[in-house]
Amino acid sequence: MNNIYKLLFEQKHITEKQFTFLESIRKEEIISLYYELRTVLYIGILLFTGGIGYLIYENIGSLGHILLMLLLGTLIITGFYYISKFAKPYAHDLVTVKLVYFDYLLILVSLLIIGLFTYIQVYFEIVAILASWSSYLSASLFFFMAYRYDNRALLAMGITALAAALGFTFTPIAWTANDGVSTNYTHIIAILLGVSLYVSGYLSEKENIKPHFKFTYQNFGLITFYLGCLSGIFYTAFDIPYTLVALGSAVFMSFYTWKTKAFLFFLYSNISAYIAFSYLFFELVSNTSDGYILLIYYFPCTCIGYIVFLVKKKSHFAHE
Amino acid sequence: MNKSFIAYDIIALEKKKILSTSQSLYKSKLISEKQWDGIREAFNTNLYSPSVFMRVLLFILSYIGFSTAAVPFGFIFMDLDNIGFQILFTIVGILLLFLTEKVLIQNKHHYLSGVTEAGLFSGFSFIALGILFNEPENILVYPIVLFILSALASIRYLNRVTLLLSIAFLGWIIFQTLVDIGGYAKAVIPFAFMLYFGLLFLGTLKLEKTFTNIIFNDFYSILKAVSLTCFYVAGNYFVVRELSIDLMGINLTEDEDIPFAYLFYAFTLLIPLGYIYWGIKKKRILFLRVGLMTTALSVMTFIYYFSTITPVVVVTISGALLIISALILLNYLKKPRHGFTRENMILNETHSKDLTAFIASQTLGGNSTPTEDESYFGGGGFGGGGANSNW
Repeated sequence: MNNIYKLLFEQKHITEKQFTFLESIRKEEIISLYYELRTVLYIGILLFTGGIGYLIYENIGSLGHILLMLLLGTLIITGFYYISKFAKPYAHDLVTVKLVYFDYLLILVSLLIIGLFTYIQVYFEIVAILASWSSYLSASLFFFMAYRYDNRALLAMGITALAAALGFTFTPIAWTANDGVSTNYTHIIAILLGVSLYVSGYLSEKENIKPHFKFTYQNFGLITFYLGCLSGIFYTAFDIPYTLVALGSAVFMSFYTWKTKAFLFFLYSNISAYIAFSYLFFELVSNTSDGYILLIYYFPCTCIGYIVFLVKKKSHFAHE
Repeated sequence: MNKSFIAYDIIALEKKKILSTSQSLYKSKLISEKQWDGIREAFNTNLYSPSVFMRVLLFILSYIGFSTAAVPFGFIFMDLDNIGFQILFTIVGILLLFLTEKVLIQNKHHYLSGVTEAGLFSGFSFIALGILFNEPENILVYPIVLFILSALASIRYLNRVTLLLSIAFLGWIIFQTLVDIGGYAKAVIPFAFMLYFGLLFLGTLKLEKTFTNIIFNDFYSILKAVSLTCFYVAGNYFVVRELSIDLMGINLTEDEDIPFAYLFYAFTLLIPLGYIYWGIKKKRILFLRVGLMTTALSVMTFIYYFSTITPVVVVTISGALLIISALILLNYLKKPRHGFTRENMILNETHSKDLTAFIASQTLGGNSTPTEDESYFGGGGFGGGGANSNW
């Protein structure tokens, strides 16, 4: 069997018109550059804003600085001209805009504004005064742009900027190398931020204000909450209280997300519960003399048991 | 390829492929809900093939499970000598493969479930450990054994990771042979690799014509993309120069150059351009993608050796150029031209605004404070493109 569309057409699952169209795609008579162009645009923004940000530091006090500031200002104004030309009025629901690169334009302009702001700070030597506030300002700008122009990427950037402002670097991708959540104080902040983000997501849907923001809020909320708890276990003296908080909430969330069929959140909760439970178990066993025998069988038994459970209950999350 | 050599039920895999393709069509609104329901009913399979997150989780769990399960056995056989360990490892490996195939693949109909992959990897690793445990003197034995095992795994269990591994191990065999011969053979290593990947590409085209089945399509795409990219890398000036110095112990001063330097400059310049030209002319998206990527690498190579401006300026300017050219092309392709369009015709399976948002927050530096140095370099790690889900 080598042609899906032909088979579907022959068995009368699709019409001839659909078949001809799909065949033209398969034979590469028409090629979509959708992902390619977006990737190029994205990498361009990444490099350009990154480069500009660094150039600002290098060129402070040199001849180029006024020029650079003017350039940034012009770019921002041009960007806003296009944004206002195509943007629709604010609405609680999902807003779709005709301009295909509107989302990218928003991100670029937001990052440039922050670049210009940084420049002004450094140029007028007010860094020290604004140091603790500049992250909040960046976060507010991201949040404002996210809500006004309906953009989830900016919302996610706003959340991470907020976390940075509160004192911890939020990089779950590299969380093993993450020493951002360091003091005892920040663990509690992380936990509180996690809870409030999760609740914000819940409220977004309940009050019907940008309900499609729910996933981003709750995803960051849960990750922040669990990372806060788990790093509390391993890096503070209050390991047992943190373990109990993590275990309790993760078990509760496991049941809740099982019921609401939120698969990804179910997994987060399961993993956190497993880590917390293992920690408790090891603490208990290490106090006994022959406990190490149990440890040999702990990982194979729990892992295989959990696999069997997940595979047996596969139909529960079938829609995923 | 004899079809009975493949461990899976081919018919079921075909149905699965038809289903996933049709699902993308439905999500892209190219077929109606009624049509999608009809297809879903007609090509229903009992294969167990969960979503990406589940797969990764199952893989990690099973891998921990399988490897820690061997620990109690280790205690029992602690007094064995080398030969005894070799036999033990091989038996454990074969047992794992046997169980994976009989229980998971044939009885439970697992396909890319994560559990099967963990079983296969641990099984093949144990066999490799068993064969190579006595540390053979001739280094060439290692890549040959590993190549045979990974090639077997890629064909019988249709595994993509082992496919990539077998390409790499075959490369290692070629490299080791030429180094062992020494002398002139060492100087032709770059050409040997270009020849290897060139032949791999042509061989894939040939295979694609011989074994036409939708379930192999992904494999052909991987093979073609890898061989085109590596063909370029093998002739890239930077790679050849640096590897000559590192691996062959050639001493070069600033003014000296590697043998055939101009040839490699030409390769670095011409291969990407050739790819892009061919991609536009023949309308091959694969050539365009590889062409764009290799162009970026060539630009970096030439800047590394010839540029007098600072890297930051280069980064900024190239970023601006990329933004401008993307915007120009997006405007130019408002209407489809010459068979190219900017519109999305069939959605990618992993297409999701939530995912894009997450990646943006991790790469675009929303998580850094402006008072630090290098503030805008943000999270760094670029997790975007990798679309080939391996397990």
